[in-house]
Amino acid sequence: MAMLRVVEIGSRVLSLIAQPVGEVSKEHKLLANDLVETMYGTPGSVGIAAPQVGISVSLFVLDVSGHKKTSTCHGLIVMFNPEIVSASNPVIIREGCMSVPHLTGDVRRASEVVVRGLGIDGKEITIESDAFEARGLLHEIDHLAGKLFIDRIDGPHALYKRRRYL
Amino acid sequence: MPRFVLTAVGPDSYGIVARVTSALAELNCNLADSTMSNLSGHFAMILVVDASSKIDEKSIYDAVQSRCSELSLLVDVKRIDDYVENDLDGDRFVVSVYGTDRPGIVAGICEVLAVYHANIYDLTTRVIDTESTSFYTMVLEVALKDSGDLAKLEGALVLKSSELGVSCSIRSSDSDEL
Repeated sequence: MAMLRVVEIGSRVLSLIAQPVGEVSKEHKLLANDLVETMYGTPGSVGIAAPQVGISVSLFVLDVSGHKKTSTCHGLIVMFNPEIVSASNPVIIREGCMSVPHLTGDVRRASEVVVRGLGIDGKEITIESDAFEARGLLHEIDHLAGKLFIDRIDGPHALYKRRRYL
Repeated sequence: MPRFVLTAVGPDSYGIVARVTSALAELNCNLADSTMSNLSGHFAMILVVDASSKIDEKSIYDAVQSRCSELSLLVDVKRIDDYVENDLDGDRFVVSVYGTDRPGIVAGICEVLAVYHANIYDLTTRVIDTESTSFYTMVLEVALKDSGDLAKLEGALVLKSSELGVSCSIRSSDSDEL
């Protein structure tokens, strides 16, 4: 396993639609493990998508355990080829991103979601969640569609500078 | 009732808003609308002010300047109550633009918006510096008179943003009634 370098806004890979995987290969599992290590090794990070380390593959990892805004929690989630089955009850919350280290923004996202994809073992999994975990799922899935939170910002006054990332 | 627009810009310091608005309050002026922000270390205020018929541009200017003499504020006051407001509203959309900083991003995107009669209601830009380069971000709220033009506008924005080497997206800013 290895910590991977996180690419930042301006990297073309962040604007691409990530490539879906056919079958979950050994290389895919290694990448997932590296993403997990990168996420856990970055203070404050609760999730990361493969494009954020420069790899355009439809994969993200997420773990919102222990976060103060977490309600439903599935622990560590590793998901390939995610798709949103349903999304409802939108709320506006200010969020940040490792790939946009100098800005935060108010973003409207669903607070109740059902997401389907492939797990680390290649079998289909469905996650039904809410609150902070729902937001994390949608934020990471956006990365796989080539979208940053800036593309979801609630308006011109919803974008804020911050001094540093975490 | 006379209506004025007051602009004041100067190096940021404590108490700018307090002093400017106190001067207006002493003239019994009412703040009808305002936007105020710190722009790269300079505090910028734009206020729409309603006043009694005895008040003119000079009395507002003098009151503000006397309260703020040591703040190096650039102050301007203009009467605007004879202004006829055009109806430029329509369906609202949020446009997000970001990419490597370069001259002409705002001009290029806003020229496209103007062609499609997308009226800008609000616009904020931020420059963020990373280790290797500077990135420009711009978020706009626009009103589109004929939302049937949305697909054409979106196509033109994609084309222009590609020329400029930036990312650009547009989406509805409809609010949810609760």
